[in-house]
Amino acid sequence: MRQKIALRHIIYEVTQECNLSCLYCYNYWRRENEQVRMAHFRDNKRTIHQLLKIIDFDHITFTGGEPFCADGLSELILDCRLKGKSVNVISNGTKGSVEEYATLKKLGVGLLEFPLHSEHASLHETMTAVPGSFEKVVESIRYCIRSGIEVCTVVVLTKVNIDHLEATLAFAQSLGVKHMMLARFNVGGRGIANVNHLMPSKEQLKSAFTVAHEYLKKSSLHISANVCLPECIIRPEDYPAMYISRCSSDVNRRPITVNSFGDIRMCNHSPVTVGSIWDSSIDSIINSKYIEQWHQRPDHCSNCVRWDTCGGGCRAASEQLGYSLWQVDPIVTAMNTVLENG
Amino acid sequence: MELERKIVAGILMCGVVAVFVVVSVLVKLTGRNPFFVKKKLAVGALLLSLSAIMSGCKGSGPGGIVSCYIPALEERVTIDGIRNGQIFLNRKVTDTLHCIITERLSCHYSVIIMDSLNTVVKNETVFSDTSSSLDDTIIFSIVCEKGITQGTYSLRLYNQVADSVKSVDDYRFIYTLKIVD
Repeated sequence: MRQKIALRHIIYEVTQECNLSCLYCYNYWRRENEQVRMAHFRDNKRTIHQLLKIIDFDHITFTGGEPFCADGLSELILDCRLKGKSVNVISNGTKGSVEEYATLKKLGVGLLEFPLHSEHASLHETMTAVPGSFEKVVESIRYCIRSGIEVCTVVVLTKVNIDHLEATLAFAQSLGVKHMMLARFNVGGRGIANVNHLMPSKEQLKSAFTVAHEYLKKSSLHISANVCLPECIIRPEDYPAMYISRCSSDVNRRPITVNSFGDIRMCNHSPVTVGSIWDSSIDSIINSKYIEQWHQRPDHCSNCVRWDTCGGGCRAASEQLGYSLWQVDPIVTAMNTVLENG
Repeated sequence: MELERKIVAGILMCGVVAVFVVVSVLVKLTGRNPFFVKKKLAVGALLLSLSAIMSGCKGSGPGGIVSCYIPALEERVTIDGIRNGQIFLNRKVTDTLHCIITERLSCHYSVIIMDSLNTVVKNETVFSDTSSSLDDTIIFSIVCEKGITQGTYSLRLYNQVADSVKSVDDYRFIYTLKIVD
């Protein structure tokens, strides 16, 4: 029998459909001239079973699109749980019902992640572009916390909401949230058309990180920054109490992304399909030339002394704009930064 | 008491597995009739609870923390002289590598150094402390004595004590180690 390939973590895009129209949405199929591919339950069932068969993974995150738009989400999660996989779900918090959340709890889903962009409905909904989405997500957060489901909220930092961060953190905490993720606005998908409207200045971003850093020192809220940032924009040593993650270029140390049809991508931000589980071996995919390129420095970072800890920010963001991996994370140019030491 | 609990759970489990198989067949035969899908999810949840009891685990699987847009812990490892996954050790300067791990997932770490013929030249537990918090950063040293001749090796880090490592391929991290005298 052929040995399974071991990969720690899979991000599974169970559907490309979504009921919101977030201005910052990074899903590559929300770029201009791209189309949503409709997946059916049988596509997901077949792909999940194949993944369980060929990859020895510990953890799977169901995302989308909006995963609750997918037919049979709970059944797919059950299949994974019965094979001993830990499961998380990333949702926009407006589509899942109380019954569905309760089912996920019974199935042992470890964590639900919801967006919470502001304490003001108007600001949150400016970003999600759907009226009523604030009230629904707050209801979801409240219900899940009350029911003992672990919840993590994410605030995407844009020009629209960045100056309200402290109030947003306090609001999240008042809802019982214990973990808040800061996600910098990462250009991609529908966000490409909204860059000017959404991209904060470097000063605003640094100021938001300072606010978050000060907040976590005085409160029990755990705050982390999870969308990797080039260190020429944000220096982790300036925020020592905050967990600031970076993406590894090693496929064993990062989640690979798989969609309903078995297409594999390096991450959920990258639009580039490396191969399909149906016509390539996982081994050949993870050892492909394309994956090898992820270890290389973008030209802009060629002499940077911080490369080992920085890794160049989000490599996939360049791909979203149609550039290659040799191009630096677009946030560097968008924030008009000059690299020091290189 | 613990044993009795596991025996009862085991007996119950056999029954629940049988019911689960029947309901799963019905789901298929009825083209995913919502009534049977609900039953399947309920029985599946019961099955998961029973298997958790049998394995002595009271929790519902690992919760997550976070990387990028999603929860996943990732240990952060820093080793002296590392660049692009390669560790360079100049023994004219020192024979010791210092290693720092943050965001730990384990209370135990061990290291194996293998030469190009896959011969293990070093195998030892470098950290083991069940009383420490995973939030604590740990620092330990790996000494590359003269018995390890200069050359290129594979340095593998495991999140288990050395005696528990079943296969050298079960590493958490792997690096190329270049030693020069």
